[in-house]
Order: sequence, then structure tokens, then C-alpha cells
Amino acid sequence: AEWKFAIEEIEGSVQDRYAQEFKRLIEEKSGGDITVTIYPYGSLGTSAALTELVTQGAIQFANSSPGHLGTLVSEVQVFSIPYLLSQNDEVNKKVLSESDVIYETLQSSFHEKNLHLLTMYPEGDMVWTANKEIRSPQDFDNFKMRTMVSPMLVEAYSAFGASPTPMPYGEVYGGLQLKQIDGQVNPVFAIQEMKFYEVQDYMIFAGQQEFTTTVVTNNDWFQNELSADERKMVNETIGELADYIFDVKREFATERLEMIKEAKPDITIIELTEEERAVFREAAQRVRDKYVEMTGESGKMVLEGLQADIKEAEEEMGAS
Amino acid sequence: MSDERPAAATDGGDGTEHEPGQGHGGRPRGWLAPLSAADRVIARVEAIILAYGVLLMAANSVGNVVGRFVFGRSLYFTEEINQFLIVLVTFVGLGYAARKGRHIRMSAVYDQFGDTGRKALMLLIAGGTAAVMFVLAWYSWSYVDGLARRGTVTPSLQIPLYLTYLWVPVGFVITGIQYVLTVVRNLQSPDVFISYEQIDAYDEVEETAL
Amino acid sequence: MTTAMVSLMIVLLLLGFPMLIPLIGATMLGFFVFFAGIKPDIMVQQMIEGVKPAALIAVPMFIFAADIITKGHSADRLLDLVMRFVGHVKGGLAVTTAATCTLFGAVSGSTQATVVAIGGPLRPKMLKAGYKDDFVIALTINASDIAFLIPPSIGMIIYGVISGTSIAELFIAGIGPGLLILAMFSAYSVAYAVVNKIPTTEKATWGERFDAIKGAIWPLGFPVIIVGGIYGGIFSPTEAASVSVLYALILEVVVFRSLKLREIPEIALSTGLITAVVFILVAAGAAFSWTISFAQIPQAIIGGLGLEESGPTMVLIAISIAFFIGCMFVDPIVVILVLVPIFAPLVKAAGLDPVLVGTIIVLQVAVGSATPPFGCDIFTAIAIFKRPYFDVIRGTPPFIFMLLLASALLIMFPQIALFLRDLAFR
Ligand code: NA
Ligand code: NA
Repeated sequence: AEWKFAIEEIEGSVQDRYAQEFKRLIEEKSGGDITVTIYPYGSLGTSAALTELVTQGAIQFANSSPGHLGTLVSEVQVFSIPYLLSQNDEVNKKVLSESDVIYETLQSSFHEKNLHLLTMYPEGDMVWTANKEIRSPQDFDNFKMRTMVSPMLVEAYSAFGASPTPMPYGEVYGGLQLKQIDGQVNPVFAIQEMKFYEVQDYMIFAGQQEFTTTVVTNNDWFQNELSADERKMVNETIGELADYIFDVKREFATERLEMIKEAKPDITIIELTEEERAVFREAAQRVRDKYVEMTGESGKMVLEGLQADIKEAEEEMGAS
Repeated sequence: MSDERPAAATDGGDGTEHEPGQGHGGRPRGWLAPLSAADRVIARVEAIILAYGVLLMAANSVGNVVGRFVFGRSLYFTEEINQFLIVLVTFVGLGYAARKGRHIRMSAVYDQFGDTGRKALMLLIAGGTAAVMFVLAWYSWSYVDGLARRGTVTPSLQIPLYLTYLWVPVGFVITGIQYVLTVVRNLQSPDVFISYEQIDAYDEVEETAL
Repeated sequence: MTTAMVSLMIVLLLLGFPMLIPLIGATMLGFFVFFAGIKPDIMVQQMIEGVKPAALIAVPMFIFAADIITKGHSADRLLDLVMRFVGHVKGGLAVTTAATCTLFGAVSGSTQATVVAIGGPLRPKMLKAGYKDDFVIALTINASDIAFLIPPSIGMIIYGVISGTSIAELFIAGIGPGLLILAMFSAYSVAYAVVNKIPTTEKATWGERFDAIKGAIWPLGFPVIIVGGIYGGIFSPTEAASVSVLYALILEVVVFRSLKLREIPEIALSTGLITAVVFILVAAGAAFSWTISFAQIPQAIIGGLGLEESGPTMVLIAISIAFFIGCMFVDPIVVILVLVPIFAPLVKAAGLDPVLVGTIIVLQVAVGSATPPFGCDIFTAIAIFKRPYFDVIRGTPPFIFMLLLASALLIMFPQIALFLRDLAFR
């Protein structure tokens, strides 16, 4: 059999590494009975289109980031809330790969759409780039910050004091170069891939958000068409990949940052202090209300459950 | 010298204008008359949607520029509205273009045939195109229905996505009907018709009219 | 599967079906015969996705602006100005057309918008001056395609992202080949004018020229607003199209009073119709290319060529041919997205400069977009100029030849592209 796996990123990306390793393991475990074909960014359509292809059963697996998936499974936008996840990597790893809130409460919303959530993993810190230093909401005054199109992110960056400005991803480079926008926010690997650093002077780590992605499959296919053995094989493989992709993520975070520094030695990298982060965290509290307003009772359950899970994991690991 | 005739998109005064919806064959008689009246109403609605769709696109985009540059506030829904309008204009315009015989085709081989040959080919083309349009109408209905069931919403305005795509099946059905009418007209009339109202000739393309 | 799809397309095309049908017919063949079991709804999904990219909005907006200034006075005043300055030079008007297309294309970033905005108003003037229509249309289409090479270029951005190449370097590298092609087209235009004995007008006096400048002072605001607005960070190239609609309305309705407000919806209707005719093909092309990608056809074809052991020049030639052919059938952006990763290992193995490869790819994309049967600029020209398919492509061969010559020169002398890049970055 051939299983098709579409990713939202280009070859050589974090998602590609995950899909390649998934392919290797599945093909090995099935003794060659199953081949996995990987479709990189753009070859089968936009992110939203990929999720639809999975629900329709045209492909079996796809990456789908909460920013896009939110138009189908609204509760998943919880991952767009700033400062929700922990500042501790190990805590996030545990929560994202094991939390009952994600794999039971949130899962039922996926099943309603004929999707099955296989896993979630982080791809790195969302970093601000700008041509000025940004350490407080005042610095964001009159600052046109390019964000993805989502009411949650518009709310978040308004709360931070910026002027959220939507712009198609492909136009961001030109927009920054010609100063139509003042900054943008993306994980380090994207800033490196899209060369945003060529036209920006500052990279600011504020710890507000981890870029996460999901791997989804067609629920009907997964529960009814796969044999119990195949299903077990998929679940096992997904389990084994949790540690793997965490290491890949860390590797990307350092390597890509090094590449940026090498290509542009005079770029200024700012790590906000705990006190500075606290100001932004406080400002962003209202985004949680916005989320509950948008998603209602089920969203509220997901949010509260996740907050509890994160807190528990932090205490367990002695992190705060 | 038809080759030398300046025929920019906007030429309007070169004597090729006709009453909208009337065409070269005159008004239809008999059982087609009421259908034809309904068709004229549809044509008018299509024209209004196309014209105001384009005007709204311009207003919407300029509004965003003014909002961002003058007031420092972007209209975060501009892109979404433009996408809605472009889908609207494309698929409503599909039917309108069929009606006006404006769809692009490669007629080099077709033009070599005599009147009978071209008539036979035109029947095949119009019939085949109508069939493809109805098949697409069916699948686009199924697609839109699926979106409605899954409850997908648009990213910024959070309105149901299927509402913004309803024009797609409608456009395909209207276009299919236009090509069926073309078959009918070609069977009724001795001339070769490229659409129900347009005779097949490049130099007598009817101007658009609101 | 490839053979069946291509044969079906060619048969439907030659029979004279609307071009939408060959593209959709081949797509349906893929869905109903080769991937049975996959919901055909996806064809529709991909058609809709095909017309949704934000940058496409520039096309109807530039069509609209061009329609307004052609129906009003601005276009005539601008052309009058051009004629007073270049009317007496052999081939002057044609060279001006080529240069204007290049400039406008460079700024707007859209070849289709350029065909509309420049070709619309200039074509009647050139016909009147004695140029043959097939030359005029081919010149407009091909000169507009230089837009791909001169920044800002969406093709270069996509290539840069997919291949991990500096976009700034790509932008600079495109300028040399872009100007080379413009020079070739200009030389051909002059030769054409001489050979065909295109009459020149009497040389205008400086007084007449000054009058023309005065008459065109308002319309001259177009380039100022578009260029100034984009480089001043006020709006994006896409938005510039809508701003020029606003400016055109102000000029024609308020300043010149050549159009009444109630005439505007009529012009918008004409714009909407042309937009639909072109965009339905963009939509059908998207569904078709999805089918090709899904079936992994490019991988199969290129994998079968056995290029792993060949040298850099062979790889560059293979790339040129693949992109050229791809763009004859499918939207350029899609071709870049699909083919760049497939060629990436070959490029790496041959030790080629990725900036050079990008420039060559973008050049092929430009050529392919103007090449029959499905080049997107050809559709636009048919819709705008209302000429039969064959009339629109008749004048194309000399231009394709020049573009292929430029490709060959670029492969032989990479410095054409890399000279400016090295000057700026090395
Ligand atoms: Na350009
Ligand atoms: Na093309």
C-alpha cells in the first residue's frame, strides 16, 4: 500500500525530518509492504487544503498547524494564546505528547471532523524581528507587526501594543524591505529560510509562543480500514518520534540561528528578561477571554484543562 | 482589413454594439420565449454582480491602504473579502463569458472547416462543454456541501466558508445551461452560433453592457 | 497516464473546445480513471484555491485602471507625449513599448497586469503607426515577461525560499539578463521597423513637446504614485493596482471630466468579464497541476533521464528545458514549487551557483509563460485584445528565439547574471 503524507514546509525542514523518519520506520516495520510518499510544501496546495485532503481521504497524513487548523477545529487555537505553554522545554514535550486534554478532550473535536490527531510537536520559539529594539509594549507603539490572519493573533498583538498587520507570507520579505511593515513573527528556521534577517536588524526572543504543529490522519481510514496491527504500528512509530523530533527542533534552533549570525554578523539578538516578559504576559491575559468568547464551553474546558496539565507538569519537573 | 482594426478591450464605438440579450438571431419565438425572458433577467444579474464585484475589490483594497497608512490600523479582513470577490467574479463571469461567446479557444483547426463541418464541431463542442459543466456543478455542490457539514469557517471573519463558495456550483450550472442553449440555437438556425446569442465571428463580438 | 492526459488535451485543444475543457478534461481523466476512489470534489477545491492567492487581485485592478484611462483622456495624452519624443525615430514607438512594459512589469510584478495596462493603450497607437498586429501583440507579451527577472519578482522569492538562496542576491542577479533581453527586443524592433518601412512622424519641435508634457502632467502622476508608493512603503505592489484605479477615477471623472460616474460600472463589467475569462483558466490550470503533482509525474520523468553523472552545463540545459516545458502548460509558481526540489540534488552535485540556477529558472518561466499552448500571458492577450488564438501567437517565434538565445548566453556566460551580484555582495 502507498500512504501519502503532506507537509506544510519545504524539504529539509523540521516537518520534513519528521515525515522522513516516519517513512523510514513505517517502511522498515512493514517489511516493505507499505511505502510512504512525502509531498512537501506547495505540491498539493495550501495548509487549509491539505487538511481537507485528509478529511476527504485523498491523502492519509498531513501536518496542520493550529493557525490554519483553527478554521476547522476552532478549539485548537488555544495554541495561539501567548505565554500559555511553559518556558521549560521538557514540560512542553510532556504536555504536547501526553496530555489527556489534547488526546481526549480536544481529540473528540477532531473526530467530529473525521480527523484523528496523532501527535503534536513544537518546532521552535516564535521570534520577533524588527529594525528597532523592542523590550516593552511602549516600543511596539505605532509598530506594524505582520501576523498570520487570525482574530486571536490580532488580539494578541493589539494587547502587546503593536498594530497587527496581515500580509500574505510571500509578500513579507518585500514588505519588510520597503518598510510597509515594521516587523514580523516566526520561528527561527522560517526567518532563516525566508531570509527575513536580510532586511531586519533585530531578533527578539520574548518566549511568548512556541510554534506547534499537529499530525492528523483520516479518522475513518485509521479506525476502520487499517488492520489492528497497522494501527498499532502507526501509534508506536508516533510514540518513538516524540523524542526524535524534540532533538531535531533543538538542533534547528541552534543551527539556523548560527546560519543567520554567519550570514549577517551585525544582527542584534535580544533575549527578554523575566521582568520584561512578565509585562507582555500580563498584557496578553485578555487573549484568553477572547479565546473563550470564540470557542465557548468546549474551548473553556480545553483551556482550563491545559493550564492545569502544564502547571502539574511544571511542579512535577521542578520547573516554574 | 479586420487585422488592422484597433480592437482594444475597451473599444465600444466601432459599430458592433447590440442590444444586450438580443443577439444576431433575433428574439426567440414559441416555447423558448418565457425561458428567454428569464435568461435576460439572469444576464442582467450576472452583469451587476461582475461590475460591482470589481468595484468592491477596488474599494476594499484602497480602504486597507488608507486604514494602514493614514490611521495605522489594517483592515484584517481585506484579503478575505477580496478572495470572496475573486471567486464570485470568476465563477459568475464563467457563465457571462459563455453567454457572450468570449471563452478563449484555439480555433485554428476549426476555422479550416466549411459551414457544415463547423456546425457539426460546434454542436460537439457546446454539447461536450455543457456536459463537463454539469459534472463540475455536481462535484462543486458536493464540495460545498462537505464544507458546510464540517463547519469550516474563514480565518479572520469566522463566517462559514461554504457561504463564500456558493457561487461556484451556481456558476457551473448557469454555464452548462448556456452551452445547452448554444446546442439548441445551432440546431434551429442555419448559421453557426458560438453561444445562444453570438454568431461565430471574431469581428462581431458584442460589447458588454449593463 | 501522462501520455493519455497529454493526448486528450491536444485533441480537445485542436477541436476548438474552450481552453478550460482540455485542462479540466485531462484532470477528470486523472481522477476518474487513474485515481479512482479519490473524491473528485478535490478538483473543485483546487480550482477555487487557484484563484485565491492575494497577489492575483492586481490583475483585475490593473485591467480596470487601464480600461478607465483608455476610455478617458489619460492614455491619449501619455501616448501623445511619447509620440512627440520618439515618433521620428525608426522603431521608436516599439522600443518605447518594450521599455515601458519592462518598467511597468518590474514595478507591478505581474506580467498579466503589464499586458493589460501597457498593451491596452499602446496597441491601437502602434497599429495606427503601421506596425502589424502580430508583432505588436508578441512584443507586448514578451516584453511584459521581463517583469519576472527584474525585482520585485514573486518567482524569485518562491525560488529563494524553496532552494534556500538569498533573495536579495537573486533580485540583483536578475537585472543583467533582464536588460540584455530588453536590448535584444529593442534591436529587433528597430530592425523590424526598418525592414517593414514603418513610417515615422515628423520630428516635433520643443514647443510641441513642451505642450505635450503640459497635457500629460496629471497622467504622469501614475508612475510617480505607483513607484513612489511602493518604494515609499505606503502600499505593496499588489495594492498599487487598486490605488491606480482610484487615481484613474480621480483623473477622468474629476480632473478631465471625460467620464461620468455612471459610466464606471459599465467599465467595471468589461473588466469583470476579462478577469473571469482569464481566471477560470488559472483555476483549471491549478486543478490540472494538482493532478500532475499528486501522481508524481515530474519525479518520474526527471528521474528517468539519468542526469546524476552529467556535468554542470548539461544540468543547466536540462533545467532550462524542464522549466520551459512546464511553464507552457502550468502556472509558473506551481512549476517552481514542484520542480526546484526535484532538481536540487542535481544542482548540488554539479556544484552550480544557486543564484545562477535561480536566474535561469526565472528566465525559463518568463519564456514559458509567453509560449503556447497554455502560457498565461497568451490567455490574457486573447481576452484583452479580442483576437483569435492563432493571431495572438503568430508573431511569437522571433521572440521565443531571442529568449532562447538569451538563455544560451546566460548558460555560457554566467557573469551576465552574476556580475552585479558579485559587485554588491562579494
Ligand atoms: Na518584477
Ligand atoms: Na504558463
